[in-house]
Amino acid sequence: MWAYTLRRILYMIPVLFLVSIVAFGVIKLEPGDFLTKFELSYPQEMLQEMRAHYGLDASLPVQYWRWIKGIITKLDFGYSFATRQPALSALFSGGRLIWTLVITGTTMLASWLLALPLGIYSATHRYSPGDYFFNLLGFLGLSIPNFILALLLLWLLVVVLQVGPHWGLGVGGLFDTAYVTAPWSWAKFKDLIWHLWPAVLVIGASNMAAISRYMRGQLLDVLSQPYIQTARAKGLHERKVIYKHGVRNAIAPLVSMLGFWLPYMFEGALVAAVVLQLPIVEQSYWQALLQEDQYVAMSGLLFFSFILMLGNLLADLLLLWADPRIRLE
Amino acid sequence: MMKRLFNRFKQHRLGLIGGFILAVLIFLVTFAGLFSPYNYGTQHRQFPYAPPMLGRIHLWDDEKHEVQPFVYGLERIRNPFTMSWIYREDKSKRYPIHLFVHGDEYRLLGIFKTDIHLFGTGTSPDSPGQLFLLGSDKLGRDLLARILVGGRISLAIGPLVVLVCLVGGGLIGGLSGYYGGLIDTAVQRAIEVVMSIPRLALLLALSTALPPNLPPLARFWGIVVILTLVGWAPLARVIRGEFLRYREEEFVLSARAVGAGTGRVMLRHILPNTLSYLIISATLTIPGLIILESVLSFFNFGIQEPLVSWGMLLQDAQSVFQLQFHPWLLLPGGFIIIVVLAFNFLGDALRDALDPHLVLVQGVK
Amino acid sequence: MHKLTLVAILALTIMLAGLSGPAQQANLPDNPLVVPLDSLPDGLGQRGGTVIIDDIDNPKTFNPIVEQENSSNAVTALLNAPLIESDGTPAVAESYKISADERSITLVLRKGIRFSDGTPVTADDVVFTFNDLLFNPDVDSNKASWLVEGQFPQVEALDEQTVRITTPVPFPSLLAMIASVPILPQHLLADRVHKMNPDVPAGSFDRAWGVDTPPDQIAGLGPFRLKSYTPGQQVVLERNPFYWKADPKGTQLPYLDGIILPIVSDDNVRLLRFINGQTDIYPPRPEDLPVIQAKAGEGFRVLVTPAGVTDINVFAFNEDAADPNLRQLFRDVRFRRAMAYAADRESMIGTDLNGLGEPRYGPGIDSTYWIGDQPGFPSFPFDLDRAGALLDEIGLKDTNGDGIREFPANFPNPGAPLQFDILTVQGSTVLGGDALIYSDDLAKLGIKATVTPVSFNTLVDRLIGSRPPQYQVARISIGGGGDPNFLREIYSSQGELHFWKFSDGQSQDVAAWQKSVDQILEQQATAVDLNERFDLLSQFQTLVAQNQPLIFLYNSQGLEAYRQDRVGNFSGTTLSATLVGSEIIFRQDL
Repeated sequence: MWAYTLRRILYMIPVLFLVSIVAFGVIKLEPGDFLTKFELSYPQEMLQEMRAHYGLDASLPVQYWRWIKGIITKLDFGYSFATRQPALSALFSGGRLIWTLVITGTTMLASWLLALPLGIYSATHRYSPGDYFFNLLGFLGLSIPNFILALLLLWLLVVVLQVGPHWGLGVGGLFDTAYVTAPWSWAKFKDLIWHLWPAVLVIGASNMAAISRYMRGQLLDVLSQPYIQTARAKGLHERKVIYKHGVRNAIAPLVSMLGFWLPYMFEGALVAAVVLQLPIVEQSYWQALLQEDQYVAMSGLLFFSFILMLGNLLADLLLLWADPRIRLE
Repeated sequence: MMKRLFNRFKQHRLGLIGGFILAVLIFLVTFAGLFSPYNYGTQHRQFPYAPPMLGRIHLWDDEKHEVQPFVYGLERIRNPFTMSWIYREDKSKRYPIHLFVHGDEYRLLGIFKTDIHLFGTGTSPDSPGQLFLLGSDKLGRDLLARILVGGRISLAIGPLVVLVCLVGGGLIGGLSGYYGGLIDTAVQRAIEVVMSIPRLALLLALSTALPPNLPPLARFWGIVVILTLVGWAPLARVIRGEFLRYREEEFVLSARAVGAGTGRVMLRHILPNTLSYLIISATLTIPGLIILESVLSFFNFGIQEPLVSWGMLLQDAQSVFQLQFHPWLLLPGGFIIIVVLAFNFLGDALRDALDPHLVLVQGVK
Repeated sequence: MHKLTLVAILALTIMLAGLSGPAQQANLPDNPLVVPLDSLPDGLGQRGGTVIIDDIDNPKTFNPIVEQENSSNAVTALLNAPLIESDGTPAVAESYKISADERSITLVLRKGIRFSDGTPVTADDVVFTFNDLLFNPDVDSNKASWLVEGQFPQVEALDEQTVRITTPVPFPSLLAMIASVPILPQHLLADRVHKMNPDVPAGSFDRAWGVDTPPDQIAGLGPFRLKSYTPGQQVVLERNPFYWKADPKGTQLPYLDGIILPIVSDDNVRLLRFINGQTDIYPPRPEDLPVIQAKAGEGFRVLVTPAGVTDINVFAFNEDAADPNLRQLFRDVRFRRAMAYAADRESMIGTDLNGLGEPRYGPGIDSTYWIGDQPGFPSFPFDLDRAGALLDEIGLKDTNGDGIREFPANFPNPGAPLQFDILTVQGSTVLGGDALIYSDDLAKLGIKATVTPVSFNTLVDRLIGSRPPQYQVARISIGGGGDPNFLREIYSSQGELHFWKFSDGQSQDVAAWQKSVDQILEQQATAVDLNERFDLLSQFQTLVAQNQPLIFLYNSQGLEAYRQDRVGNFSGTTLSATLVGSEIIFRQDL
């Protein structure tokens, strides 16, 4: 297992290298550069100087070489022109990295904690009104684009329920103004949860829908297997049948899907970052794209790919641990 | 076998409904100009944000004592305090709704110049009668017309991209799986690299690379291209797997023994076996693409003026308060949801019909 | 109790009571600036409370000399103060005198005035700010406009409290320019200037007071000082305990204990937060008006100010277009006048500004000189018939019945259809809306105009970055200033920002009226007599309006919104997030 892990990690390196080339190429495809918007305020000579100073006048391969060299030798991911700090700081500062991981992790957890019971219920109470209801919810969750869901949520909270005037609750961001710099307390934690749940819903809705449907399908399949009948015939308690035999076996393929859902979480997180103004890495990436802050954008792409690969690795490891029947490829 | 397939498909009621809805929508958007009283770009600047008039069609003309659908005139008053417009029925003016009226000139199916619309109130673009069935936008453009025309892009992009992905990705994956060796390794690496980057991140970056002064149609094709670039990898991988699997099968080996060329083997022997899998994959990929396009266009990275797509129309609904004051602007979103549901139902039904035990890795989004 | 103890307790109590009063006043300079009562719209306020206003983006720096963006200015404007205000009233300086020859101005600092960290302000700080920062070639400041006859003004300290600024010739804008300079503390910044501290590399000062600077290393003369900055989340400002202004009752300003600026980059979310009660002040867009007004009963208030006259909102026709037909056509003043008649300004104002604007037909300029509303000033009200007649006159007719006019024989490519692209900024609902309305009307005139949204960067690149400019028609807005010197850059044929006919600067073939404009703009720069300047600039505006090198559209009215149930003495914002008069704002609901 350790050998496998090590091999996978070592393998990530050349892939990341290739990803960096793609990231660089794609970002540089956009015409102009960061200094283009200043053509209005600065004389041409000054802009030429600035371009030379920032190395923006070099040829593309040279620019790439400098960038990748900086990463490998000094962990220097380039300079953020828009925010005047190293690109990595622009992406991660203000706790963005931590919050990204927290929000992604929470969404993952919440999706699974909510979706699994729903799926199990649907499978075990087939054709019941509950089943139809959850089925419908599931389909809706898959079909509503997350930005529409975000809009509807905000509309519900601000226009319909008027949470601000009525209950003093805020929307958007992670904390109310009063708590941003305040030390941690129970009240601050509650405020975080209040701000977090719409984000989790927006990011994870399609996840939850898919997982619960999948769980339902898998469990139905498993429950129709002969050994389940055997277990029942043996007089085992129904609940034990479902959970010990049914769910346990149905879950394995689901675990293999863990890594699969990661990229969709990114899409949800991006939308949530913009519509709900969450201080996460996706937001920095978005701003960088809009402002042609090239190194931040490239590094962002690299970072997301890295996380994706890590997530896939973790999912595979989890699968190995969960189901020893799976042989290493 | 086809009959059995069809019967199994018919059992899936939701799939039938989905298929039916899609058929109707495709029909409507193909003849878009005909089914709306106005062109999608015609501005009626005196009637911005007019509410939907669907409920304002009166059927019984009590003056002439006959059944004649009509609408009253639209009267606009500005609330001086809030600076917003309020619309009222001007009962002094009646505008009967006729069938096959003359209206804005347009090209039916993009080819035939005509000015006949299925229904409407007037004979000229400056007709004083207004029939905004689904309301109007900021510039007074008919939302029904815009939704129908926008539907062309929103409905076409999915299948188009899937087609290109199937052909392109299929070719790459197929060749890779069949030949193996260096080509296979290279292709596998490429697939991995592309799949390591989250789709939306890559998509956003690529869309900023589209030359900004692209003529609208070129921009549409540009979006198709970048969606393909982002979406070919999973399909290629799936196809590669299939070709790999079938490469060593008896019937393939025997075909090669007889001297069949590579192309023949791939097309006539392997492909038919993978077909059902491909069709289902394709149908279930389309909803995801529709949503991707709408996300792109909503954030102004995709389809832009003067082109229309449902996602692009939703830009007008960006502010929550727009929803409060002009909720009909969210209708394109409703269409997106319905179409995505329809494709999902259809895909489910197809899967049940073709191969009930199939567990697709491509998933439902 | 022991008598002595009683006395001690009494004395202590008196001392303590005295501490809260006069001690507060002890932080005021000897001669604080007393704000007149009539400048307080809601009267006297009381100290206490904070106000929340969203900033549009992360500040990039806290260095007021080097900053360029509004998001940074929202913060630095509250942390700094100049010697005098732009209207001439004394600020950090308590008085000033202009010499008889009008070449120098002597300013006296307030005695006892201190920076926000308690350090006394001296004339050396003023000299440092001007000579070692502003005029220092090593510092990235906006110094070009300070040059008078190629030289910077001479700034010297006459004594601890007195400074004299001298220019070679009388410089009419000197007072206004002094009002734009924040006085910075030498003791905190001198060691970041290469000239004074050779240990630091050249250009170090540009990076001084960046966003990661600890707040206790930043000091200024503004009503507030920096308390904390959490990147991506918010900036927190607290009261400057040494602020040099007081209200008529003698209470030291600012009233507020602090100001919080959460960072929210999305317009819609800022509106959301304001309506939901999370912020107290919000500079609205025109389309936000109905939403806010609907809540008027709950304490929301909107202020509408008359339309300004300085912003420039135009359609520009590139007279250096690559297409020879368009190039010849755009240079024809009849065509440009037709294009001016074809602009439905009322619709544009109604649709994009929610009716809050006024049509314009001439260049924007400082209100002192503006004559756009004088009777007889050229105007081009919306009239498609007149536009069509002018097009007919040029010979553009639809010869083949396709609804689009074709070029006549006297053009390089006769028979070609009359069509062009209108560039606008992607995502800008206002610019895009105007262009859509315009192209719709042009279609009625037989012109095929295609609206092409591009990124802001690309637009700038096409207009300014490329020589000759690479566009056909563009819808752009140029904001603020209206200062005639700035206008020179735009309207003079040699100007850096003259983006519709670059070739003018290259060839001798300049139109007669353009030559006149060049002369006028040259002359007005040195005209000291206000009347002379006014006449010159009136001629300038008339010439430009008559010849329509740009199709002028409108000016928008100013909009402010705030919670009047919470905030008193609110005077407005500038540059989208910078509070004006922050020192007199107070909380109503304490």
